[in-house]
Amino acid sequence: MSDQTRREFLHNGMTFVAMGIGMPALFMEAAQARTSNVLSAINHPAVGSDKILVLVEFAGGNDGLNTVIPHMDPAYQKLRPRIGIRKSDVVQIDNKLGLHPRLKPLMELYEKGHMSVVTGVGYPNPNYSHFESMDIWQLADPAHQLKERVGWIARYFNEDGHLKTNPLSGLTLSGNMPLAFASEDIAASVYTQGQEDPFTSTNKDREYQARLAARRALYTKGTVANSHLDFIRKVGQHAYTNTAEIRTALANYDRMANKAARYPQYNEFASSMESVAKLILGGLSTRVYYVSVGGFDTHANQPYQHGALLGVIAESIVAFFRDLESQGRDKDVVLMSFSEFGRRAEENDSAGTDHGTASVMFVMGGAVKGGVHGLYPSLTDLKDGDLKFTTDFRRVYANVLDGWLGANSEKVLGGKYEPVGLV
Amino acid sequence: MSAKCPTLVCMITGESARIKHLLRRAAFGYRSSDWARYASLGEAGVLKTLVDYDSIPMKITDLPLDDMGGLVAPNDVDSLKRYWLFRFCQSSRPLEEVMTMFWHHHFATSDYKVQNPSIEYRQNQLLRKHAMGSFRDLLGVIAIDPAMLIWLDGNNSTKKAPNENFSRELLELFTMGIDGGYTEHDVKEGAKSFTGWSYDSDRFQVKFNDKNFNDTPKEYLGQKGDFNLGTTLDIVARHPSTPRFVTKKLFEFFVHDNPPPEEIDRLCKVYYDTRYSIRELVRAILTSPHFYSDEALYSQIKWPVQYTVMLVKTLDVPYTWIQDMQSYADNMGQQLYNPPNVKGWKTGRNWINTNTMTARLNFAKHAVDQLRYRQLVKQRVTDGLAMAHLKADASFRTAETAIEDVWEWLLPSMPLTPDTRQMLKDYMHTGAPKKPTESYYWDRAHGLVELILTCPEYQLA
Repeated sequence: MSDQTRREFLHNGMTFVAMGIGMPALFMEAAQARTSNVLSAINHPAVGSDKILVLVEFAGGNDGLNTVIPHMDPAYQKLRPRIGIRKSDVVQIDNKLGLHPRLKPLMELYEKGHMSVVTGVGYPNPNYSHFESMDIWQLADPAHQLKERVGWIARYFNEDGHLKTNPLSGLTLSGNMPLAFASEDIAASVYTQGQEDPFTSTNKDREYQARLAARRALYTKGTVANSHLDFIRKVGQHAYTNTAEIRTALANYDRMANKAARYPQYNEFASSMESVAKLILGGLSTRVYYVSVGGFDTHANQPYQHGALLGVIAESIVAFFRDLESQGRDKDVVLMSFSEFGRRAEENDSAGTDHGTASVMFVMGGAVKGGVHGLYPSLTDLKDGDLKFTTDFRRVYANVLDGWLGANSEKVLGGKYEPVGLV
Repeated sequence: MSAKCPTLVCMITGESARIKHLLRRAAFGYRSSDWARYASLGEAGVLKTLVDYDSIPMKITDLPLDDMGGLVAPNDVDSLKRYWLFRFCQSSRPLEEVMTMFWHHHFATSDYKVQNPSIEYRQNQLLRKHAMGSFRDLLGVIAIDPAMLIWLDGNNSTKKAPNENFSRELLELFTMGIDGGYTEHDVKEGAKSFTGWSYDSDRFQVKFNDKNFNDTPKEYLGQKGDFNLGTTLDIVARHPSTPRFVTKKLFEFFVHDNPPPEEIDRLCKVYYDTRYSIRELVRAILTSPHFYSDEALYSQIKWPVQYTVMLVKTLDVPYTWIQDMQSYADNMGQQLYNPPNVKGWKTGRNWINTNTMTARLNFAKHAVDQLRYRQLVKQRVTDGLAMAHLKADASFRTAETAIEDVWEWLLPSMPLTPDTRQMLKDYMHTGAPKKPTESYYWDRAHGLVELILTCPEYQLA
């Protein structure tokens, strides 16, 4: 299916579902009258379906030093006598650096030049609180200069009329709305599989359809601007329109052939990535997907926990790109991983690591310029036991905004940042 | 974010409206059958029975623990969630459960790392026991609670390399707050004081090992000395930032998002005057004029547990009729025993997204359906309207009066806007005969109740 026909199909498909299949004519009228702005909201074109960004949050502070390992540096084993990765186990990517052994599956992408590694990523005056530092990354605001807590992705949406008004511009599959999406305009949603739809039904019972029509109406007429009530109403309305669009995308996906990707079983991150692939391939209008994976706060017994996490992440991401590639869409998607901070250079006595500073980011996809970007921080020139960052994370954001999403990073980030050369 | 009703004028007028507001916030609702007792107690009496609950007989027993510290009940977290929600719905001391949840949110400890329901339940009992006691005592018991020792790595802390995790979160999230004026140095020094304590999972015991205690002289929050766990907690509990942070959080939990500085000053004084009594802080908050102000009324978005428990109590649905109540609360974004991280849940508008709204609506529908299947809706509406001093039979003679009275039962003091009234009327009239009878309207009672329980206004408390 070409892009054009896919869009048309989607557009028609969505309208059909939104009107309620088999709804008696009498209620159609009432529903139409009361939900007219719901329908106009659903009619936005699928603008975001060409260039897509998938953000993957490594929650808890990922140990960059044991993710991308400076295995040739003698200081590394000195800092990490118990939890350091042995030189012989490292998956070499160049003559200085190598990946954690459990990340080996990613070599499939790396060798194709579809994976870039940005090292030494951080920001000035590092904050050691999970929450403060995560906020800094989500707002792209280390110096606390923003007047309002509007996330960096939300600010990008707000620059574009279409994205700003589509509640599906941003979609997270990990429960809570990330701050990166937060804005009064609510151009983002949360989705999990398997919930009943409280707004529409194929049940033809007259009383039941009247009840559903009334509920849709109750969530359509907003009253007081900027009140909790108005907010709740808008989100309820989005829940109604999104369900129809997501149902259509999943149905489109179900009709496709060649679904050969093998995702790890019984793992939340893997199944979230699989859902993202389905929704992308089904043509959902989402521009930025968000998936969070926790467990990186490895203060103790790090080797097993960190390895297991990295392993399932690597396998899931490789399956995700295979899935996209099977439909020729891997060049339309960029995946970017980040974490609130790295960890202290020296291991602690609990076979773990405490909160630190600079870490690594992965940027992957058929369109990225693969390889290692950025300087690896020195392991001997530390500040209070922490790595000194070499690449400001806003440079990576700016690169993705300008080079991939076609946005104006200077406006979104409130400053000019030198691109890293990833896309 | 301001949480007022700017143009919808919500007003608390009359004692029964004030009592209902108090019960929404401090008891997560009430049953119609309980109303007569509350009304006879009056506002001051209700407050006293809620706050001074120790003398009220507790009808629910704790889950039994065997000698090995394991739960006799199924050892899985879902069973613990179910049991806690059961307590919320059934307890004769509702504020005890509300405060236990507040402390669970405050000292947020999560199953995803602890992975030991037995000690998670023990922590729950501990929080319940100390929920209204001295804040200093609460700090003392939580610092060496087995689940906390695992959760924030006290168990892995050693004399030589004190683990900073608990020490940091103690200051950042449990006592002084991120802007409370502590430094990285205080975090490191505090960590030393907490060494020596660990949980022995083979013997099910918390123990102190002298040899593993870092006994070097310490410098903590501007003081120098040979501090240990107890003296360190003394310093933190006494520090002026601690009551500021904790009373602000309590005020926001019970009242609204904009505590006036002079009110926080007043509460800080209560904290010191009563030797850190949580009960007296709660009493001071619930009797404050701010609590009953227009700014407070319906200014909060219900917590998922509050939404589910209140709905079950209001409809008087027997707990066992609701299947997997905990899974609905999970989908609404509040997994008991499994807060997202050590900062607890993000509240207010963070509770609301497309996914959680769907879960809220489905839960209300599920609860009403339980009554509908058993043909109990009319009885419950009759009881509810009787409680609200509205005449049930008269109400259902017209759509208008049915709507107004059911609204007043379920959302007392909440304005019914012309738009909402019209939408509910459209529902009541769809497919109606030319001259609808009272029994026709009663046939729509379940739909009317369900629509009000799923409407935007009902998400507020």
